[in-house]
Amino acid sequence: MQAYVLSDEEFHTGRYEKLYGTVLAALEGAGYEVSHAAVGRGTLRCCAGCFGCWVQKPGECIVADGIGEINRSSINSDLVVYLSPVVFGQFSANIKNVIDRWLPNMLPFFITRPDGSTMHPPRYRDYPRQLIIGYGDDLSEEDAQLFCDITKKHRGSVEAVVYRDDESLNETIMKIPTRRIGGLL
Amino acid sequence: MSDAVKTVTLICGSPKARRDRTLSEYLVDLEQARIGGGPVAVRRVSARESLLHGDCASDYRTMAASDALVFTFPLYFFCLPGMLMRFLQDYAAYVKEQPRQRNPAKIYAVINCGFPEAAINEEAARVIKSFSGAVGGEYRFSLLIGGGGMVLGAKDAPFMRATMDSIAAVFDQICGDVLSDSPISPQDASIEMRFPKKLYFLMGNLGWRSAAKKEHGLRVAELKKRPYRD
Repeated sequence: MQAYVLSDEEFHTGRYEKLYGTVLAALEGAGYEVSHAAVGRGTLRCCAGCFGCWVQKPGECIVADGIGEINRSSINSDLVVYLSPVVFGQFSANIKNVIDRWLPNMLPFFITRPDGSTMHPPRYRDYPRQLIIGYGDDLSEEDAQLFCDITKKHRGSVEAVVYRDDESLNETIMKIPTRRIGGLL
Repeated sequence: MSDAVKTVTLICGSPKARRDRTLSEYLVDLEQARIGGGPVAVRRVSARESLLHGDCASDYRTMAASDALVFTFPLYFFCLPGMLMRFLQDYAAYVKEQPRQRNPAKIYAVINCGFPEAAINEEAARVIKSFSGAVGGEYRFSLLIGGGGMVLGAKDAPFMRATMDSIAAVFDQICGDVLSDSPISPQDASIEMRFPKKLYFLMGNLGWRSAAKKEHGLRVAELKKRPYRD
């Protein structure tokens, strides 16, 4: 089993180092082979909303700056873990660039999910499990809740938690099914 | 209502390149027309241009000296685009280095998404509220627009008149709130297109196929390529 960990090198703080150590140990303990990529300021360009990944070169971002390797590694992993600083209750800019540029991995069309909400259909038959772990010092309850709501309210196949302590994080990681996930995004 | 002149900075947060005018730019034009003039002086900032040309410091000074900030942007993956996050993160760092402002700026957001449901924008409005606290500003309210994909193409059609009037009315409300001394913030406003969802989907789906074929010579089946995994 492959796990791919992405982090924001602009926020490699003491708390991050503790989090990363815990995640690495938990994943290796669960039998994953772990690879890690850190994105920093300037590593990736921002998604410019050109939709070239849908209508020009379907499935691939037309900007050649390393996102292709990140998306290839993500799609071929069993689990992708994003270690994201919580900034204003959202992902940091660097992690958000990675998430925005996940767009090639879905199709352009509109569909209605069973709960009535709109989404784009999956491009692939199945996907890695995805876990987004937010972290930060002195986070407010509002920002922590918002960080989880952004993902959990809208992306049914992606898990999001905020790092509080090693025990609950280990529990979260152990609960993640080891099989890839199919169905709607 | 105060007689003092207020300054409002309108920040366009669309990351799109300038090949075509974006909805966010169009909305900022409308904001300028409805909010500017009279006792309100309006300035404009493009987060994209500012970051691209390395001129953030000048724009940050403009923003920090304003009585109000209006952020207008599209929703990317259910929250703010990475580019706008970069602009805001750096602005927060800039503000931290400055002497404390005399009055907190009032902060508003105008958020549009391509999906029909305006409520999808709610979390992005909460992000702007959190940002407001981080920079010592006062979050007031947001306009959440659903079905933004059809505004530019259909804005002049008769069936869109009521929707466009509603958008203009919210911009008037922002103007009134900027000039008001009331401590009570109005509620967020939601506007969705008065258009059948099924037809919106049909037009959108045809649009993707058409763009791929006309602009890049791709067949429909090619849109479903799986480059990284079968």
